[in-house]
Amino acid sequence: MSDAEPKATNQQNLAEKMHELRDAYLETWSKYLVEEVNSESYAQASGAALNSYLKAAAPFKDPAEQVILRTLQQFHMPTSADFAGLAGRFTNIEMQLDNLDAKLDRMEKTLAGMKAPGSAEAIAQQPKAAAKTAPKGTPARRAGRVAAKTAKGVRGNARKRK
Amino acid sequence: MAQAETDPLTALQERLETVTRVMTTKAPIAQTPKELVWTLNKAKLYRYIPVVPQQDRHRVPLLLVFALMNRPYILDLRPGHSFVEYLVERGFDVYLLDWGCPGPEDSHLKFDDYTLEYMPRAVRKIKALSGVEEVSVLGWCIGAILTTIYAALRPDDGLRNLILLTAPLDFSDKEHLTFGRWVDEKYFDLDKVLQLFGNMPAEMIDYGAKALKPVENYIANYLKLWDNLENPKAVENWHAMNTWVRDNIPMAGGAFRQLIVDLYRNDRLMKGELVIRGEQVDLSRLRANLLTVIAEGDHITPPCQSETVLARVGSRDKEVYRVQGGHIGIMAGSGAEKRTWPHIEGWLSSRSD
Repeated sequence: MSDAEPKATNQQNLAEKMHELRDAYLETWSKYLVEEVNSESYAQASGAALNSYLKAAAPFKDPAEQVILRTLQQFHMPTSADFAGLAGRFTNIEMQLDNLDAKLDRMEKTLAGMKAPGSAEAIAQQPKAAAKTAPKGTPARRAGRVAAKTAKGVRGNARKRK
Repeated sequence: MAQAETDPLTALQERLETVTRVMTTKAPIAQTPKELVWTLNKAKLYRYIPVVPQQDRHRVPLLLVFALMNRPYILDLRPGHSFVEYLVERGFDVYLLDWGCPGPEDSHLKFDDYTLEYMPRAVRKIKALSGVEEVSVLGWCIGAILTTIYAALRPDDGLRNLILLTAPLDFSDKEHLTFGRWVDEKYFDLDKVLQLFGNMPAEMIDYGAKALKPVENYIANYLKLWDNLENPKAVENWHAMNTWVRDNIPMAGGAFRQLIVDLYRNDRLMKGELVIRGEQVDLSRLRANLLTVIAEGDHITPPCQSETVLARVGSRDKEVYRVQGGHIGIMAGSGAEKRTWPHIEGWLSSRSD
């Protein structure tokens, strides 16, 4: 047991040292490659590689698309252009629905504002109610009638502005 | 003694099984409960179900906007390590705009569509649902470009707080922009690429992002997994991150063209020359409270791309927060919940009531 313990510790130390060496090695490589990919020569090389891929792939694109298009048309099946058009229409419909939703929100807000205390509607209703409940010929009844007329004017003007 | 000799083999087998599992399966990610509240084309707006009673919640809702070429669930990576979950638990009304995966029919989509069609509509919906006329927006990477453009073009839309994470806005320092060098018109034939593919393929974007740090992405990442196989938490983190890293999406051709021509090649946003649907993007019109988060070790968006915006915007309340880490690590790494998230939460909570 006493022999095994130092052996295990030695192995652990060795493994740690290997890790440290590995990490140091990777760090050196990492720094070197970060500088390398940030160089003009790398940009040029990657651009050249991409260009050669594009040159090789581009000639096949149009003929392949034409073949697919003709095949789909022969079988009276919708093409990618049909799907794209349909998707565009759906998006437009969604936008129109969203516009309607926005309008409804605005109307809801306006209605809520009208019912809120202090709004033109509430002011118009208050004096009317006061006038009805106050005894005939009293100042409260007269004041209520005047206030109701004023509030009516306010509402009328608001409609004209709209 | 015989037991001790077989153990290493069993252990090796278990390690290999774990490696196979995490490299070939998808981790359960984006688990925070949410509801779909709005859609337009491929875009979806989600609202995360609040867990804090309404009276204790922050008044101003928060919209999260991620990049166009990756899935946004990096913001809600996994339970216990999710920025979204963190915010929801702290009383924020959180929304997420998922741009979705563009198909060939979307190759015409441009920044113009995203900033003046999708974002204003999503913001309107959020205002209607929350009943609040103000909103905070957090944009990350290209999401930060989109939110900046939107904030400058529509300053009266009720945008109160703007948080930009690793925002690539300034493209003037060509020396430090590796991507800029690669997509220079001398080497990169943009027209041919888009003519062939329509949209910018996800694989090419993924290669570009990984090639910036080849050793880290192609070797060290897997060695890190191997070294931590005995640690279940580290393995699950790696699994979740790997699931996200592998789930790339193409970028709409129109938007990619603008990113390369208008931004990388001509730096039009900072020069004040960027035109979106006939409107010039004037950064001085951006008046929202602004927090810019910069990752000091970011190879994708070097700090020089995010620093200068503060001097151009019209915001009075503006702050830059620098954090050690990489482009994704500052928000999804193990240190995110100790540094970046609390800072964002603290900044936002004092401006959201």
